[in-house]
Parts: sequence; structure tokens; C-alpha cells
Amino acid sequence: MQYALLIYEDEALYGPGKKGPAIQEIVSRHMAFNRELGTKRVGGSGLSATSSATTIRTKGGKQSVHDGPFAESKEQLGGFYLIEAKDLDEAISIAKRVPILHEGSIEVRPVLGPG
Amino acid sequence: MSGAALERVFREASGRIVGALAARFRDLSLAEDVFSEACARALEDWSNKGVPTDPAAWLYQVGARAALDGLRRRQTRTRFESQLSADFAAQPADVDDDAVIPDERLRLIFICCHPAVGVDARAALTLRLVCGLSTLEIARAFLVSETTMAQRLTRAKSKIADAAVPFELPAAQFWPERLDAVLATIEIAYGNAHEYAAATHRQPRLDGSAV
Repeated sequence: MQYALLIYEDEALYGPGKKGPAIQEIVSRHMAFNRELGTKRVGGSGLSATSSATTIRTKGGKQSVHDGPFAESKEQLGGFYLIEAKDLDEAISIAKRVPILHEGSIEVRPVLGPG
Repeated sequence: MSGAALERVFREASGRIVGALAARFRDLSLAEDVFSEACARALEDWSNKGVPTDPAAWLYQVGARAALDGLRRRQTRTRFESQLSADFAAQPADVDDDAVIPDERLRLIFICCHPAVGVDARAALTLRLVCGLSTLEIARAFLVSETTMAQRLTRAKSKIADAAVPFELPAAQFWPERLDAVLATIEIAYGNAHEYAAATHRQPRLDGSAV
């Protein structure tokens, strides 16, 4: 079964455009975590700052393109892992080990389809 | 046996049977459905042929057979299913129910009280699956409409299935955090059952299993 682990943190911690000093620290922690995950890691990546985000909205059969992320919030989607886990408990125990700089949330979502 | 007596047999057996079926087929909704099916068949069968010596074992076996039929119909011919069929074929037809029906109620409680299940649904789901209360009874105990409660239960069961909440008991390191949820839920379930029983002058049949 595959799960997406969605990482939500306050991206302001990483400086403008996510280029501050904290980014070095978190990237090296993620690299270590990747090695630790081994074959349980199916995919994933960090995401550029929400200032680079573009949202395409479909409403009433019409599409419109907007600057910015889908939702403005205190914590933003900053990256994700796609992992292989036998059940939700294994996914949760992996999610608990995902590096977080100070505080944040990891959303665990099963991937649709025959997993 | 009167209809009310039969209903009592069904209800008292329900937690153990639904638990055992859910653990075996790893599907709460399927377990619930085939248990109802078994009860419906029992109403017909037992009024013609009399109540079997071990009603719970009868219900479990009819339920398990219905589940296997259902799985076959769904054409999920995976290796898992052939393993289940093999297990089933290997089982003796009629023995005493402690041997036939594994007691999976504890497992079932841990599933119902998984932190991934909404707090407002845990006690309700436990009352439904482990104690065999009807949705209407649970709705009354929680002072919500039957529709609301039905939706809450359905949502919780879908979450358990979709997110693959495990059917195993949690590993030792999870016990401290998981046990709190279970105890809190049991307290709510017990309290609600008592209030409901007091309000309707019915015996709170949950007491034994709740404690």
C-alpha cells in the first residue's frame, strides 16, 4: 500500500524564496532520512516556495489561472514523500520520523487505486 | 424461541462474531453485512428446523460462508482469497463455538478507537460493532438523528478501510498512546449505554463487555 506524506511547515522559517540558512539544515536531514527509508521510499521531493505557485481553478465549467497557492494558511505544503507501508500504523511511524525544522504537520494520505 | 429471544441471541453474539469475521476478512463493512445476512437466514431456518445447539457458531459459519460467496462474486480472485478458502475448507463443520469463533473483540475495539478514526465516531463505532447496538439506539444515546449517526458510522468505516487501519493489535511501543483512546472510548460507551438504559428501562447489556 502506498501513502503520500505531505509536509506542512511555515515556509517563512526558510527565508525568502526558501533560500535562508535553515534550508541547508533541513535538506541534509531529509537526505539522511531518505537513506534511512531505503526501498520504502517510492518518490517525493521538496517544493519551491509558495511564492512560485500558480493555481488553476475550475468553476462552473470555466478555468482560470491564479497567482499563489491553493489556500493561504500559516503552514504551507513544502514537500512530500511517496512511501510504501504495510498499513496505516507503519505509515504513521514513518511519518513521525519525517524531519521538521521546528513545528509543522505531516498529513498521511493513502494513494488512490490498487495499491 | 420468540422473536425477542432471537434478537437477544443475535445481539449477544454480535461483537464476537463481527469481530471474528472482520479479523478474518479484514473488512468491517463486509463483516457487518454478512452478520446481518446470517441473522436473517437464522430467522427463517431456525423457525423451521429449531435453534441449533450452538447458535453463535451457526451464525459465524453462515456469515463466513456468505463472506466467501460475496468475495467470489466480486471476482477478487487474489492469492489472499484462495488462502482464505483453504483455511475455511480446513475448518471442521460443527464444533463448540469457542474453538470456531476466535475472540477478536479486543482487536475490534482497538480498530474502532484508532486515533485515525474521528473522536466523535470511536465510541459510536464500538457500540455498533462490539456491542451490537443498532444505529438508531446509538443515535438516541448520543442525542443525534439516526441519519447523522449513520453517516458518522459510514464515514468512520470508510476511513478505516481506505487508510488501511491495521487489523493487528498495535505494537508494544504504541500501547501507551493507544490505550488512552481505548479507555476514553469505553468510558463514553459505558456512560452512554447507562444513560440510555436508564431512559428506556432496558438492561444495559453492554456492562459486561464494556468492563
